[in-house]
Amino acid sequence: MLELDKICKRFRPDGVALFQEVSLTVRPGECVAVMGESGVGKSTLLNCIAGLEPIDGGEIVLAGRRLDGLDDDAWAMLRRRRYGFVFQAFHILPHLSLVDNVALPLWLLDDKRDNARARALEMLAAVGLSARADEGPGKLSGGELQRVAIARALVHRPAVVLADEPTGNLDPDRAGEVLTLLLDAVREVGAVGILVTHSPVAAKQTDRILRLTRQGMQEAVSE
Amino acid sequence: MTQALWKVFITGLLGRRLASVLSLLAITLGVTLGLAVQIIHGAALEEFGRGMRLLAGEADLQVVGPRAGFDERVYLALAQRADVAAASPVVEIEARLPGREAGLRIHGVDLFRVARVLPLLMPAAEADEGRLIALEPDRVFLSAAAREALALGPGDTLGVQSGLREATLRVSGSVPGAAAGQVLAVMDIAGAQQVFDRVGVLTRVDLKLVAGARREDTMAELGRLLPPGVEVRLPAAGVAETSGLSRAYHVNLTMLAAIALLTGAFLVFSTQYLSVVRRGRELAFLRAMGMERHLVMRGLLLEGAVLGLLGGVLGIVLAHGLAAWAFSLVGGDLGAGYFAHVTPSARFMPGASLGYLVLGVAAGVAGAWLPASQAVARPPAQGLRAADERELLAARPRWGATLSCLVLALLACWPGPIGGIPLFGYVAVALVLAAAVLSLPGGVKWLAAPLGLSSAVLARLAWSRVTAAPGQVVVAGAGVVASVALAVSMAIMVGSFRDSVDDWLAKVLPSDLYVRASSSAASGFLDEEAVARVVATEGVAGVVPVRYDSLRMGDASLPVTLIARPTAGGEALPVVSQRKPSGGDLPLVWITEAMADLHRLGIGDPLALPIAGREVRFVVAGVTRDYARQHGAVIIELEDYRRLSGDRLTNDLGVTLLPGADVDLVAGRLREVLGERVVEISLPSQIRAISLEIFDRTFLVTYLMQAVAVLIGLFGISTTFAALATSRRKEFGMLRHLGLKRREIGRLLALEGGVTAAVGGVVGTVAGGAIALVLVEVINRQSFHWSMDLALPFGPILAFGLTLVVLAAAAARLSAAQAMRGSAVAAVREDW
Amino acid sequence: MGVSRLSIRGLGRAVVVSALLCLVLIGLPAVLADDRYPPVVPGKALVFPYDTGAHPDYRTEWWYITGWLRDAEGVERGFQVTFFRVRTLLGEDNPSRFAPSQLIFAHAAVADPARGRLLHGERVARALDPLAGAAVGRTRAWLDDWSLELDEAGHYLTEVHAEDFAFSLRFDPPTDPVLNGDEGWSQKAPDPANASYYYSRPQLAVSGTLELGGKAHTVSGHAWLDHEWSSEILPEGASGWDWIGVNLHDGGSLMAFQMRDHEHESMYNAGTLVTPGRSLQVLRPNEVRFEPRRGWVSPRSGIRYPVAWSVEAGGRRFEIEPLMDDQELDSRASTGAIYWEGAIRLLEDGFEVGQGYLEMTGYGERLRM
Repeated sequence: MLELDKICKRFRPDGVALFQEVSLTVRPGECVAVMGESGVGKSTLLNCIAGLEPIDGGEIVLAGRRLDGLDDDAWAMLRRRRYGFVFQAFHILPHLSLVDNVALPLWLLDDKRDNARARALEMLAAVGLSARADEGPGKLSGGELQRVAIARALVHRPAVVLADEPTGNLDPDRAGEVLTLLLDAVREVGAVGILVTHSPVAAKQTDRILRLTRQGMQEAVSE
Repeated sequence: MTQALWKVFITGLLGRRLASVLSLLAITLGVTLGLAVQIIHGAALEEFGRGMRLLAGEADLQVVGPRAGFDERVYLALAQRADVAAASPVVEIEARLPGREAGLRIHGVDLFRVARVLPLLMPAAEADEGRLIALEPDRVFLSAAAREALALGPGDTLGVQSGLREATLRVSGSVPGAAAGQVLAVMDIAGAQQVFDRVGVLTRVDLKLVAGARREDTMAELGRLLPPGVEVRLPAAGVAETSGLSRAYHVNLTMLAAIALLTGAFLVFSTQYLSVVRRGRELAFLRAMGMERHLVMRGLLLEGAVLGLLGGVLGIVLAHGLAAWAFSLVGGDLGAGYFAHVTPSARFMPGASLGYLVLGVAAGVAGAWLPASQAVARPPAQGLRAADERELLAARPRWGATLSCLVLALLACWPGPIGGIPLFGYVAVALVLAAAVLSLPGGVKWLAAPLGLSSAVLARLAWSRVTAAPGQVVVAGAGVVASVALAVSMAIMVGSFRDSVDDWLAKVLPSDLYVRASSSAASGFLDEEAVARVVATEGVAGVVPVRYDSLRMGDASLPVTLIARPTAGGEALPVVSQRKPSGGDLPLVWITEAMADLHRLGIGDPLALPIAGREVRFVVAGVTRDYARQHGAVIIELEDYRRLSGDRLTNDLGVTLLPGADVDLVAGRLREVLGERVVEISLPSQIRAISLEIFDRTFLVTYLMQAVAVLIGLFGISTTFAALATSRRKEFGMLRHLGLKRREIGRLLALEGGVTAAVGGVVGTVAGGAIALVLVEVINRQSFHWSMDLALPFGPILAFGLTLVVLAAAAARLSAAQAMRGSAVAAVREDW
Repeated sequence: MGVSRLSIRGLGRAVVVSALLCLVLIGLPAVLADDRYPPVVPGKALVFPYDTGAHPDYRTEWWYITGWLRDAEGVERGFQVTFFRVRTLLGEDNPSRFAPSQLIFAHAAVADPARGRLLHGERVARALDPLAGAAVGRTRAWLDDWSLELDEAGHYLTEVHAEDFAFSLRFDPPTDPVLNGDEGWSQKAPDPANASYYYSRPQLAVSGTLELGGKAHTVSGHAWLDHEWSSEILPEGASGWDWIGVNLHDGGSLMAFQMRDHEHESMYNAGTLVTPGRSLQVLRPNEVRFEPRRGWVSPRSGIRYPVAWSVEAGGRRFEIEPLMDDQELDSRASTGAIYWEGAIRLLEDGFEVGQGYLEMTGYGERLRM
């Protein structure tokens, strides 16, 4: 369970609040979509949840453990074990093969070499790319790259998966496919899934849709 | 369009300040070193040449002979010739000054004769002195520089040594014609002959020919008439002799500077390459917008040229400062001892400065050339796509080209020197360097393989990075390869040289004690009576007397050192090769390697030596090693020499002690017997220590240059990683998201830097070994004519390599600091 | 008596070759009364030709020839050539061939009225056989390609090759040497210690060639040779002297000199007058009188020389007129010396009775002792 209690984020220079009083609770296996106008701080919210940016007030609790106030290294260790990320721009390392890209989080967790590879191959198979496991990412399409990214985000069975516009760089057909894959995978590992998106179509595939404004987070009325 | 060039390209340099400054500094270093060597050597040579010209005066010809001098009747004959308008006899003395470190070159001249040929050597008496003083035998006139160097003024006395005798000269005036910096003294020729026991001999006669006489004709005729060992030469030849001696040293230093400059070019290559990689889309966009290909090319080259120009200008300024500093510190020959009696000063050298500025710009342009041409060769459409830099960093192995370079390098080792300069040897060095750089892309995979076996995530990341993008290693490591190769080769060469010199010293210093009155070139010596006194001293078992002279053999050749000593049939000599000559009762001569090279002599060849004005035929019995005399030396049996010359003096006396005799005690007795002030008594260990100290001082500059070259190489790694870190910010951002700590990313970079340095270091060390071979077997052999035993200083090289890796890691880590400082969030979202 | 070089003032700091010699010469009085030099005493019989040679034990010695030359066109010119020998007392124990114990100095000049001033040249060297020396036993002094010698047949021969001129001349002496003073012992000052051995060869018949301005002239004329050696000439307090040596047209000859003090007053006078058919007249101090008649101021040095004189000698009264006024020899730049030495005519009752040379020293500066 991930709980946000009245967290607040201010602009550094002038202290004006980007958002405040944001509270949210997400259960394991639940996927929520966060929508909102551009500039309202959706991505920043994700960063705050991942400890990549400090918050200026409020509490973050993951599985009963308070996270706000952790130091940089503790956050890094936490991300390593409990978080998975999917980016709009994929961020697949060009000099690693697909399987190595997927195995990267396991390497970080000091998994045995062979275990890591086996697990990564499993994940690649799950996203339908096992045939190209040892190729580099150079020739892959956007959709395929994002599948690799999804495999990488989930390979270490994280507790939280954060996805920032994961379909933003994909055509609509691929987008639906990839999103389904992501959400299914999140649900399967029982992670908390938080998806930041502009796309109502994508949002609809989640369990809940939330709207972020300067004043806080509101449950959107499902249409 | 100029504005576009300016805005797009030049301001681009400002955008990547650190990298630009570093590559600019690399060029600066190359230019500084090269030009400084040029200035230092040029100024020393010019000053020396000025001295030689001063000593040539208005002479049309000079007659010179062995250092011990030649019969003064030669002068009488010359002076009476119809084609000689004026002849000026000179006896030059390298006076040892008891109680002083420095010696003094005294020109004994005939005041009445020198005026028409060499008016600058005219002495000027102090006004209040008597009127005949310039003719008095104990009067000496000092140039301003000599007065300063010896801290002597008018009326002071100056003790000079002849043999073991100390005479007192009175400082009676100056030599106003002597140029600033010329340390010399003038006295009457008769006084000089008397005081220094040189009655009957001259060392030089300067000739002024009558109007209408052809120098060539007179030279040819005199060449036939003069006794053996006495030669006529153009005054300029004296300058040429010295420049010839020091030229090889100069060329070697210049070559080091050239390699530094080359390393600078590699560095420009690195920064420009990376800059082009990073700006791939920007450049493609410009092309797409309609900027012509050649304009883009020109712009990129311009960037390199600007770096080269700024670096060059800075280098010129620094070079002059460095030269001035070096003059004050080690003197005009950078400690090599070629230019005694000269105190040069650094002056602005416009020609050389311009030359090096051009070289600096050329290095900048050359470094920018390949990246620029690659950039414009890419179709803009491809560039516009979101291609990653991997594509450009994916260097292919080039084993074919590597091999070709190596074969060519091998071939370049065969031809002989050109004009005394081992040009092909330097070509071989350049080819080995090229081969080393070309082998990098292919070599990376092998050399980084151990990294791939590690399961540590950072090792794996680093391994996959360097193997997938070997171009990164090439770009960052080229400078390291060049500088390491340079440093390792110099280390091996200098180490081998030093070991060989040490061995040689041990071989040539077998006695327990050495006694001499002065260096062999100077005015001290031991006569038979003095040697007898040494033999009679308590504790002395035996003596080995050695006599030195310098001989002139054939026109235009440099003087050859004659060493007369007990040879024990060659047993007592550091023989390289020797054979019992068959038949004939000619006396034997051993020649040094330089002699064998320069005079094309081999064992068994006949060799005529001019001894005491007569040609004496010898037969070459062996070749010996000699690191002291690069212009060659011949060694003959002392008894032969004494019989032929009648000269029974001794320069160096080796003393063997009776078993159990205390060395210090005997040395003390000898000092007492011979006179403390006029004799130098050394232990072989002291001589060895001093010789090696001189050796080390000679190579001080090369050590300095090695350090700087390595620094340049590290700059290469530093700039490359600074540039790459910027372009890899996204990667690092993502890794941060995945839970890598900041310092782990730092470690990753350090690891990559270390691996790059290690690869560059290994390749550079191998290349350095090859270059060392070329240096030892080709370049030194051809420049200095001496062989040496190759010695590999494994320990120092290993330590150096490890230090390099650590430093490179630190450099990579530091220069990438900015990449880690930035927010991981921002990096990941950078999506242009 | 041709000792003009003795009047050279000391030089400054810059030692130039010739100046050095001047210093040698002028320096001698500074070491006066050195008993290593033999004293010049009366009563020593001069032996010829032995005494025409050098006397290396004595401090200074010179062979001094002056005369008049006439070329084929009838142009008259004066000339002078001198060889000096100086014993320096330096390096006499030095086995070196270059030991500067004896120095040789040569000087020559030509007075050409067409040029209006003197041409001169000089050489200096240490005596060093075969390059320079002064032989004992018969006149032979040489310095490179300059020479003066007395051959077996009794002719003097000289060769001079200066920058601006050269001559090769033969001199035939018609008479025996004329011994000046007391049988060749010539007192120079009130103190008899200041004296020389001194003989003259007047009325030398000259033949030979003179090269001037690149042109060779066959010349003839008459000349005068002085040979004088001494250890100590200049008296204390002397400022200079005036000297004439004149070949009289009647075949006789006149030598006269006066030593002047710092007030230009005569300190000591003497002379020798030879009149054909009469015995030689040795002129005592009271028998010689020099009186200046006309001065000439050198435009170069500003020095005033009495170039015309009245001379009373042996009861006869002569007048001296120079061949040309400007016969000043200004070699201050090289030798430091400045004096007047030139060809003159000797008049008696308005008629020319002889031709010779006048030397005047010590008018520029006070002699430095």
